[in-house]
This record gives sequence, structure tokens and C-alpha cells, in this order.
Amino acid sequence: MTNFIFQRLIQGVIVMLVISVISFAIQDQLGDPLRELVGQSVSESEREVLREQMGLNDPLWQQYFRFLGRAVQGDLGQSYFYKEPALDVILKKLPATLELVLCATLIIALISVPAGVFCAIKPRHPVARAIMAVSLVGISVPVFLTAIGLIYLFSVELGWAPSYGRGELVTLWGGWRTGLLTADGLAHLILPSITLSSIMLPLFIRLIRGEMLEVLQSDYIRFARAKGISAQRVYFVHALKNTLLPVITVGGVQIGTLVAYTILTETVFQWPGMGFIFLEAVNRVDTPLLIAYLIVVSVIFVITNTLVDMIYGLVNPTVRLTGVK
Amino acid sequence: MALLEVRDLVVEFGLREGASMALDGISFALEPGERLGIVGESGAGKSVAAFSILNLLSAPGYIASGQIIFDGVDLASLSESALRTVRGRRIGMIFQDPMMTLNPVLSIGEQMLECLRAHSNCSESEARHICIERLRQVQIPSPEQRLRQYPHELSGGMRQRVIIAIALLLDPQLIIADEPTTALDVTIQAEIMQLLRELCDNEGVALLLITHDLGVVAQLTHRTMVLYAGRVVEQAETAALIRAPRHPYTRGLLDALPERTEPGRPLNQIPGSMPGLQSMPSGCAFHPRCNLARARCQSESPALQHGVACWEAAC
Amino acid sequence: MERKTLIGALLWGSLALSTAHAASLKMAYDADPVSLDPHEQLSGGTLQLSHMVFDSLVRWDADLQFEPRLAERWERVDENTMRFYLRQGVKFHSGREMSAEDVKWTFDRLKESPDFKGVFSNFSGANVVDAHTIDLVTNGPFPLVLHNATYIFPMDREFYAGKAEIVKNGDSFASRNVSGTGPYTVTYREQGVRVEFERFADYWDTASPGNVETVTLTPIKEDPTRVAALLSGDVDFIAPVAPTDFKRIESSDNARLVTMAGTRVITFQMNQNRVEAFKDARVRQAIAYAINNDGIVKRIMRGFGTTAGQFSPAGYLGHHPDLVPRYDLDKANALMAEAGYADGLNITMMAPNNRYVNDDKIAEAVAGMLSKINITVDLKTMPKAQYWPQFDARAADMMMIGWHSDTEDSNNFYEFLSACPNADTGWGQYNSGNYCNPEADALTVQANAETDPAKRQALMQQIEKIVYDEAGFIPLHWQNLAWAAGNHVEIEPVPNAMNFPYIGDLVVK
Repeated sequence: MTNFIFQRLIQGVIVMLVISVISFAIQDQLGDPLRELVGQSVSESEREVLREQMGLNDPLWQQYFRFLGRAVQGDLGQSYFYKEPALDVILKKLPATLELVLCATLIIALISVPAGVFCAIKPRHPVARAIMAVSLVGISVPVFLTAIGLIYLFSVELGWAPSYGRGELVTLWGGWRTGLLTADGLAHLILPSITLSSIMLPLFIRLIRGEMLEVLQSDYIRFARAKGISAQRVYFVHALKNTLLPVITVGGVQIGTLVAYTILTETVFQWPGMGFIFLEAVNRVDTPLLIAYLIVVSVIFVITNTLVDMIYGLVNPTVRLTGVK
Repeated sequence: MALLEVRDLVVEFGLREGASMALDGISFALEPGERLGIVGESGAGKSVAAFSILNLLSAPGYIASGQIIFDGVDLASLSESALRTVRGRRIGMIFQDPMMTLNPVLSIGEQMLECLRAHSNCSESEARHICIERLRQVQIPSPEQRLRQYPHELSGGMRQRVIIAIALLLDPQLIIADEPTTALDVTIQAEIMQLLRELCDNEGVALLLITHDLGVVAQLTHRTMVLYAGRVVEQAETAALIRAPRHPYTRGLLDALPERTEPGRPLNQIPGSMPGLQSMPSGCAFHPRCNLARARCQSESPALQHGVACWEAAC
Repeated sequence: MERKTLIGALLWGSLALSTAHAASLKMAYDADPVSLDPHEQLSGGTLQLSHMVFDSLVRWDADLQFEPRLAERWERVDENTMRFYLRQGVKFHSGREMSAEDVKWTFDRLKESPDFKGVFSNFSGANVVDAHTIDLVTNGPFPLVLHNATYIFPMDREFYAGKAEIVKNGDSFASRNVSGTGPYTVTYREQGVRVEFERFADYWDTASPGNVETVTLTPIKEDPTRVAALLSGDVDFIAPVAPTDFKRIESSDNARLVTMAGTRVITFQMNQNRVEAFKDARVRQAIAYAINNDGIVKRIMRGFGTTAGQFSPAGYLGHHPDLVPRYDLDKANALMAEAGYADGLNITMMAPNNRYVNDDKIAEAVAGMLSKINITVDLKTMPKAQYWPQFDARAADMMMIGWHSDTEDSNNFYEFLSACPNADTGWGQYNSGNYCNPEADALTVQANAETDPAKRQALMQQIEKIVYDEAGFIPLHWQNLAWAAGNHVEIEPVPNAMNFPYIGDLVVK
């Protein structure tokens, strides 16, 4: 086990290094941060002075090694816009994104499992057909449209949910600002999590349905029926566990990708999370913040993949963590 | 009264092009404690016959007509919930591939105990006791530990023993075994066959053994039935069938055995191959491959008379 | 007798309550203030904040006239000096009383600020005459003293003493703390999320009709989300409003829309150094004749703009009533033929896609219009972050640029956009066309020193005519401004063409 974790740690560091090199390499193509920092009347000579001060005129490799030197001490540079360490800015916004992803994941899990299982057990039932048709729509509609549509329906027309923001927050130990402990915060979570889950929900429903259909063809299912076991037990004990195993693997990785999908959702709902910050940083050419975001997200990916592998190893009795039996 | 009597069982497959018959009205009977073998090539309909008894056919197969009378009750007319009381309790099944038959993510104990839980009211500890006893009976060492283990931790032979143990858990009257030794090593095959034979003798359990291996039926069964293209072509006491087969197909099967061929000479294959469901010949299904075929064989399908379905049986 | 007094007292009490009806306002802009330091950045967002938390010496009213604020009156002492008489008894949020020393302190800081020093380059200094009188001295006669006075928001010098550095990409005291004389104090600020304001109890302007006690400002970046927030009642006042949302607000029962002509002009410049043909005035004129300004405003801007034939919008001194858009395709083709380019040209064009309203669509329309006179356009649009470096590098033959005069005066247009590019003086900094007419420049210099408004007007109108006749650039239109609010918010009197809504004067029912 320790060997496994150690290997993953090394992987994580390599991933971070690669990401940082790539972000640095493309930094020139992103634009001029000075334009956002100074007004239009400021002369070019003034801007040059600022550029020199910020170290933007040094050769790229020099800037990179300066960055690397500070990075190993935990300093990923100072955000041009927020005037704070970039890592701090990202980490402050992390709880908002993580809570959003958590709620979306819950919605996905709670809906896709029953829906997928139902569609597999009764594929010709009108409800099953409806679910499959709607899920096709879900895959095709861009998340931006889903978000705006939900806002207009539930916020403007019906007035059931707030239209933007996180609402009332409670600060927990360690500075984590959570919206999960207040009714207002939970109300604000509803529409954004539904929007975010809509990206993955169709995938999961179809995945579970497909896996379950295949599992239901296997010999051990027929044998279980031959033993006279109730249909319920056959579906939910014999079939479901086998169905969910590959779903954990595929799904776990997809949940990691959800963190990247939050960019669009957070922008529409003015949700103060990492994705929103990232988009603003791109528009403002706030390079330190961009790099910090990319590195944090890559770390999240590595952690998620590691956790998924560990969970899979624990849940599937035929597999040992360091290799497949 | 026969324990199991199958009358004119017709099983069809509902394909897009139209229904095709997998079993064309087969009939047979099985006495309590008797061991009956069903032999034939792949595609002859042996497994279909086995699965249809407990209605475990997978779509698009279905029972079109006929009766399956078990202990006085027609199983083919029972509802799913009624059938469930028969499955596992009064009729046990053994499948072909022990690795695929056991659920890889559930422990052996789970898969045994759930059977008892479904059919009896005994307590957990009683149930465990029964399971351990059965495991001992099928000669599995350290049965208590086995309950905790998972299928992939046992060898093929041990898994098949577990499956046999499961089949016997509730003292069934009949066991249907679909190619129980085909997927096993030759050495293990003999052990399993021996085990089956002993258990059936000791417990007085009837056995319906489906196999393509004539050697297996020779050792295990009292009577044997030969299926060809969904029809019964010959039925007789096993010893008599092997010593003096009457149907050309049975003769061909026996002649094809390696034991019947001189070393260095090619095997005696029956020319051609069994027709598929869609391309059934008219009259006797075997006539295109039969060297005794005459005009009548082409137009009329022979009925089973005195244990053989052939116009030339007298020859 | 007793019952009457009781009822009387109750009536009186409720009357007092109703007149003192305090309201709260939730507003949403597309961005929140970058910093609380009014001198850190010269931008619309900073000025909007300044008008809430500070007060200026004078401010623009809706008719683009000067309204006295912290300066009660002013007079010209000599050709270089303007004397301002300051209001007395004005308190800062810290409780201190404002004096001329604070104004001087603020002025000196403005001269240090990288963003403002250019605007104040014509001033030599501020002299305190007495506690409530201050002189602003210029280097020579300068007609825009009052324009500049709108940028002087006196800061509490003792509050900021010792911690007054202006830092662009670092953290400063002034960027997070504020003490001004304005109607609101900042009670809470979380950058990028929310700013909360509370009415300053000792606010000097007791004549202000404004009755908003608390204001919450949240940024909502996406246009549709901002409108949805207004329509659902989550916010009471929003700006800006995208033209695509106008219908929805107008047809709503609980919100209203206010639009106004703005002063930002959208233009295209033709680079004479890159394209030989652009050196010929006839080619430039042909392009001007080929552009259907009206069509662009009607169809692309959906009427949300005012067509422009010159730099200065109506209301500015330099605005020349005769200089209007001139759409005439036949004339355009004739001019091209006359100049010898009947076979046309191939040119490149660049425009931003997220800086001005419908900027990329306008560029596409213009490219289409040019094809009618045989000019084939290779168009590239890109986000503003990438566009500005390209603009600086003069990377295309025709480039789009919108401009708003920081001084609310015409000369600013000429100095930055049409003057001969001069690295020493900094003039023509945004003149990517390299259009150069020394006569126009001379007139600009003259106008900069002319304090008589009538004479000044004549000079600047002349400049506009020269540039118009020579088609020095292609004017398209002035962008309109739009605000929207719930029906209970009386927003009509509050916004102005500079887009500094005077929230302090806002009345909420």
C-alpha cells in the first residue's frame, strides 16, 4: 500500500511539472496583462516601467526557473489582479467548487443508479424509453443553455430558486466557507448542481444500463435464478455489484473531469469558485493565477484517480491494488 | 409415477425472420432416483431442453407448447413466483463452467446461504452448519474457511464441487446437470463424475445429465437419449445403446470415437454437419447425412417407436 | 382630549417614519471595483466607486454641465490660476472635517499616480489659500480646469498618512481602506464577490433626495444572468444591459429600462504605412462612403447606438453639426476608380470580440460592405487580451478601436487618435493609421491653450472638418448606455452619459 501511494506521489509531481512547463510556454500567446492593470491614457513608457518591475521582460526560461524556485517553497507567484499569493486565491475558492462538485456527484449517483437499473430491467417500458430519449437531449444541449434555461424557468418565472451566487455561508474550522449548513446556501446550490450534473448524468445512466444489460446475460445470473432467489435479490445483489464495478472506474475519472466543467457553470451562476476565477484570469491575462489553477486542478485529478483506484481495489475482491490477479 | 415427464415439448426462438424451432416436440420420462443422459452435438438442443424445464431460457427462446410434469404439476404452466419454489429446492441445477457460474464478487458463503434463506426458515447458524456439512460431503477440505473465500480463490474442480453442494443444499428430488465436466481437466472430470454418482446413489436424487461426451454417459447414466436437430432420435438403456445402437446417427457417433479407430487411420466422421435452425431439411432431419437414406426419409419425419426414430431401424 | 393627542402623536410618528423611510438597494454590475484606491486605475469602475464613497470638487450633470459639489463656486484669478471656494462643514467618514489641505494632498497624489498623471500633466500645482480656498495652477492657459476638477475626489489625508503609496500589482493600504466624504461608507468587501455600503450619517449633502440606506454591490459577469437576477427580484438595479435583453425587460411587469446616448465612439483606422493605397485620400473617402452606419446601428446594434460622422458626440464643444455619415455606394465606387483602384484591394482587418458591444459582428458587417467596392477583407477577431498587443504592433491594415475621452473634451480624441504619432510627446499613441495632418495638430495645440469657449469651439470644429474631409479614419457610431431597475427604484434622474450613476441621490419607493 505505501509503495502504491508513493508511486502515485511521484506521478503527481511529474504531472505538476509538465503542466507548469506547458503553461509557461504558452504564456506569451495569452496577451498583455498590463492592459488590464492600467488605463488607456497611460503612456507606453509607463507601461514599460511596470513591465520591467514585474519581471515580464526577462527571458522565459529565467522566469520559469524563478517560478520553480519559489514553487518548491509553496509560493506559486502573486496574482496580478488580486495582489495576493495565487495559491491562496485558488485555495480560498476551492471549497465553493468542491461543494458544487459534491452536490452534482450526489445528484448523479442518486438518479443514475435507479434510472440505469430500471432501463436495464425493463428496456421496453415507456418510462425507460423516455429516460433514454431525454438523456440523448442532455448530451446534446450545451451546459450554458441548460444553465440559462434553468435560471429563467425556476428563478425568473417560478421564483423557486435564487438566480446567482452562493447565498449565506458559514465558516468552518480552517477557513472553509460552506453553503451546506444554511437553508439559503442549500437553496443556492440547487440550480448550479443540477446544471453541472446534467453534463454527466446521461453518460452514467447509459453506462449503468449498458453494464447491467451485459451482466444480466451472464451465467451467474442464470445460476442465481436457478437457485430460486427472488428477482429483487438477483438484480440488486448479484447484478448491481458487478454492474457498478466498471462504473466506479469510469465514473471516478469522470467526476474528476467535473472539476474542469465547473468553469462554465460557475460563470453563468456567478459562483465564486475556482473555475470562475480561471476564466477571469484568462481574460485578464493574470498568468500566475492561471498557472496556479492548472497545477491545483492537476493535483485534484491525480488525487481523484488514486482514490478511485484504491476504492476499486477495496470493493472488487478479485483485484489486488498493485496489480490485477 | 414418473418423477419428471416431458410431453411434446416445443421450444421456439423468436427471431426477426420468424420463429424457428429449437426443440421439435420431444418427450421423455424420468423415474425417481433414475439417471438419464441426454447426448448430442452442439446445437442439438440439449441445453435448451435442460433450461426449459425450469423456464430459464434466455430471450428470444420460449416454450411454445408441451407439458413438463414434475411430481404431478405442469411446470410450464406455473407462474414465476410458483416456479421459484421449485427452483433450487426441489430441482437443483449444475452449469457447465464453474468460473462463470459463481458470482465473482460474492463470497462462497453468501452464495450458499442465500439459497437456504430463500427456501427455508432455519436460523443463520443452522444454515451455516448445513452449508459446512454439504461442503464436507463434496469432499472440500476446511469447509469453514471456504465460506469466507471468493470463487477466484478456488480451483476449477473445487468450484464445481461447491456448485454441486449448492445443488444439494435443500435435498432436491432432481438435479439437472448441463455439461458438468466439460470445462474441467480430465483428471478432475473423473473425480467429479464419481462424486455425482455417489451422491445421487446415496441421496436417491434423480439426475438429468446433459453432455456431448459418450464416455461420461457410459459411466454415469441408467438410460440415454440422443438428440439430433431438436428431435429425439434414439432412447435406450445406456449399456444397450452403446453396445448396439440402432439409429444411424448414434452408430455414427460411436464409430467416430477415437477408441473405435485403428491407430494411424483417420477418424470416422459423419459427413456434413447438423443443420441450423433455419435450414431444417424436410422429412427426417438426418437424411442428408445418412448412408441408409431412402425416398421416404426425405418426405416423412419418423416418429419415435420402441425407442428409435428411423424408417430403417429394422436394418 | 387625551385620545386626540394620542392619535395625533401616532399620526405624527407614522409621518416621521414614512419620510425617513430607509431603503436598501441590491445592485449588480458586470464587475466589482478593482480596488478601493481612487487613484490606482483610471477606469469606469473606479470612477463609479469614487462617486459613491467620495465626492469630487465638481461633477457632470445630465446635460454635461458642471454642478458644484465640494467646491461651492470658482473663479479665474489669472490666465493660469483657477480659485475654488470649498464648502464648509464637510465631514470625512473618519469624522474629520475636510479642508483645502486635504484637497492639495489629493491633488499631489493624483500627479504621482501612473494613470492620472497624464490627465493632470498641464497642471503645475495646487496652492492652499486658506482653510477653505484652493488655487489650481496650470502651465499656461488651460481650458479644461473644470473637466479635471471632476477627477479630484478629496481624500482624508490623516487617514492615509504614511500609508498612501499607490501600488499597481501589490497590496496597499489605500486599496483596501477608504475614508472620503461621499454618501456611503464601505462596511464589507470581498473582492470578486460583494461590497456592502452603508449611508454615511454625517453626509454633507442633506439636500440630496437619495433615501437608500444600505447598498450591496455584487458583480455578475454574464449578461443573461444579470438580467435574470433583476427579473427574479434578486437584485434591484443592474448595469450594463445587453441590447438582446431590452425586449425582455421592457415587456416585464416589474422592471424598467433606461437608455441614453453615450460618448464612446467606435471607429476603424486605415494603416497608411502598411497599405500604399490608404495614403490616397480618395481611397479613404471611398471606404467612408461604402460604410452604411445606419444599417449597422439599426440591424446589428438594434438601434442601440447613435451614428457618427466625427469623433465628438453632441454636447462636446468640438461637435460639428454638418459632419454626418455619408453612405453612397456609387460615389464610393467612383472614387475608387478615380484613384486607380477599380480592380480593388486585398487587405487584412483585425477587431476584438469581447471589448465593445457587438464588436466582432460590426467588423464582419464592415468587411462585407467593403467587398461591394472590391476590397477583399481578411478578417481576424480575437479576445481583447490578445487584441491589444496586436494593436500596439499595428498588425493589420485596418483595425478597430473605440474611444472615450477621459477629459470629456474633444481634444482628447485628436491627441490620441488622429494626431501625428510622436514618441516624445506621446501624441497619436493610438493612431494606428498613422494619419498625419500638421495643420490639425497645430489647431489642437492652440485649442489646448484657448480658454474662451466660443473660440475654442471654432478651433475644434475646424479640426473635425479637416479630418472628415480627408477621411482620416472611419467613424461608425457612439455606443449607447443602458441601465435597468425594478419598478420601485426611481432610476431615471440618476444615470448620466458618463455612466457614473449617482447612487447617493437615488430614491427607492
